[in-house]
Amino acid sequence: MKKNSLSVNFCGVKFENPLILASGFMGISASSLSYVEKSRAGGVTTKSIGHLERMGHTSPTVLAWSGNILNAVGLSNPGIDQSLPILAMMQKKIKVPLIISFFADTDTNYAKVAQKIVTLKPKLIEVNASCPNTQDDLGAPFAVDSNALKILVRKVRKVVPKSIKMIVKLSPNVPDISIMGKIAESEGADAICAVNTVPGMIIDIYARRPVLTNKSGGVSGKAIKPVAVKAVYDLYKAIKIPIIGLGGVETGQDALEMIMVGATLVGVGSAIYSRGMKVFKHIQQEMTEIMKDEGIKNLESIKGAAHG
Amino acid sequence: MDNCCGGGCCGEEREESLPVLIPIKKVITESPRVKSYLFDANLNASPGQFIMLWIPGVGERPVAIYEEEGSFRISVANIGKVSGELHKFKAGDRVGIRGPYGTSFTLPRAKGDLVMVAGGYGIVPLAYLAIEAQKRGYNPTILNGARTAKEALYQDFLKKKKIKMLISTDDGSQGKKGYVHQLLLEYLSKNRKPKMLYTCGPEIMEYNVAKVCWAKKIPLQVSVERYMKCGIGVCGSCSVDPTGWRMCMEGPIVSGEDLKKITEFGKYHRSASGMPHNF
Ligand SMILES: Cc1cc2nc3c(=O)[nH]c(=O)nc-3n(C[C@H](O)[C@H](O)[C@H](O)COP(=O)(O)OP(=O)(O)OC[C@H]3O[C@@H](n4cnc5c(N)ncnc54)[C@H](O)[C@@H]3O)c2cc1C
Ligand SMILES: Cc1cc2nc3c(=O)[nH]c(=O)nc-3n(C[C@H](O)[C@H](O)[C@H](O)COP(=O)(O)O)c2cc1C
Ligand code: FES
Repeated sequence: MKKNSLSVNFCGVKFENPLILASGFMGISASSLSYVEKSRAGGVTTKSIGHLERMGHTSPTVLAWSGNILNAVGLSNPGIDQSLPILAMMQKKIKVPLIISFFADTDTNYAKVAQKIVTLKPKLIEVNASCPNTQDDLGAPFAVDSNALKILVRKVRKVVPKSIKMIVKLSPNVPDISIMGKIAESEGADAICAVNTVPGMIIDIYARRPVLTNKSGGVSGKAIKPVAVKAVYDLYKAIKIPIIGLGGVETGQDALEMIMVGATLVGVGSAIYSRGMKVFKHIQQEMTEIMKDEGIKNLESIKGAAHG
Repeated sequence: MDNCCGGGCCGEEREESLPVLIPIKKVITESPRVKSYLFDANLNASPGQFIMLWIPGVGERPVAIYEEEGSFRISVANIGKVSGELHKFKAGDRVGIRGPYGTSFTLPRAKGDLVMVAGGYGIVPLAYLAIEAQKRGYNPTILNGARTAKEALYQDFLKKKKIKMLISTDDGSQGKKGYVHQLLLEYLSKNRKPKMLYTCGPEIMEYNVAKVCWAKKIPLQVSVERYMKCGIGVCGSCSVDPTGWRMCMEGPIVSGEDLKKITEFGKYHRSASGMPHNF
């Protein structure tokens, strides 16, 4: 068994292992990302950065329930101008591949934010087109409207040179995610990240109201794993560009499942709650063990295997 | 600290942790700014840990706890939205509680003198610690700093529990006039070196106390407050520079040695957006 059997190539960038930190977890500073890097993540994604500073929704914003997490953080971030030095610091401090995630209210502002991020010459950027918790002030996510998504990806691609790989993060809250994947691909996306959270709500029956101050939020973690697996399965059939599969990955078995439906990289977020920061190390150990038992030499050999 | 992932790392999986509504048993006005709320319930928290206190429809904030057999209490300063709303609450009204979360103060192996330096509502976890330590045969002394006599909390309460307390006030209305780290210097000049020093209060006060301890080589433990959104180690809002430790998981209680590695301590913290702000 070769030692580097977990390493993968994604958009020409080498990852020592396929497990990457999902956007929104710990990604607020170079220090917090480096803490995750030390926990052996193969790559890390920043918290999504927007056009202007946002405080996010009023707490409670993150709830741990039996299906894992429900959140309505509301895209809090210092805004792109204040974030540029923070992002530059991340590029300096983080040794594993770094994905810079961003969002905005309009497609024009997405392009403006992208233009500023481009000045940092990152290798990988992620267009978060799919946050479900900011409807009230940002409107419906671009990734649930095929026309809006098309124009968004086109506008952002125009300002992002081909040397910078552009990932588009999609929403599972559509009748057919493969259509969205095809649109993003045809407008120049280099990769797809799927999925963002699924809208949800928790009621406190004694208070007789939703627990989240924002009332509704996004469900993540093990509750959405089958949803995410099916989304990646459908995307893999429809598109040629690589996929980051995420949603409910907690174990080595879950990660291999994502790869077998077609993911090249596997995002891990909510499992940080259920299994602690060592989740990255644990999943790798579990993957290696299963791969040894099953005689799997490398991840490329099983990518998409579930499609028969 | 580097070896600990703070939760879930030792094969221990974490489950549901939603707020539970419980009625307030009693409200006590401690000072013009601070009220205490008593609850007939146990959280099995250790001194220094915190809960997330939820007022339905208003918001949720981290607060420290004092606990005894059959009950626990919190003391909250009225400084803004959620605390202001809580101050309108009466006995029988219900608030949501989730937790306890975070690390706690630990007692040194050798029995002996302990010093707790408190500022404002920082007295809450330190009072809990002092009482637990006294029960176990340690000799605790609390140095309680406040702006003015009326704001020096828990005086009667701790007198009844026979805990030694010295007071300093900025305006000299009670005890030593000046800051509590000055009272600490005076205490140290007259007493044996304590086996451990604990501090909780405004960060600049804690920083001054830590500097005294580092200079005099007194081992210490400090409560580090940061903006906490989730309280369960996922959002990163409470992460400190440059270690990235989450103060809701690897803190809030941090040893004096680990504190030296947190270079932002005493200098800046992050707001709800994640933007750094100087103290
Ligand atoms: C571990 C910990 C223990 C605490 N224990 C106590 C206690 O026992 N008693 C007490 O009175 N206060 C305690 N606090 C501080 C308390 O959380 C804030 O005073 C409270 O959040 C104020 O809320 P507000 O809505 O009234 O004020 P706001 O109007 O929201 O804001 C006023 C200020 O409160 C602080 N604050 C607001 N939200 C948070 C948050 N989620 N996390 C941290 N700080 C925040 C910010 O500095 C803000 O500028 C503790 C904080 C932490 C982190
Ligand atoms: C607290 C929290 C914050 C999140 N913030 C973001 C974000 O800023 N940008 C984004 O693209 N996705 C965000 N997400 C979604 C995650 O990146 C991920 O798509 C989702 O949680 C599914 O993965 P998981 O089940 O492994 O958590 C967030 C999720 C949670 C729980
Ligand atoms: S409050 Fe500590 S990580 Fe969210």
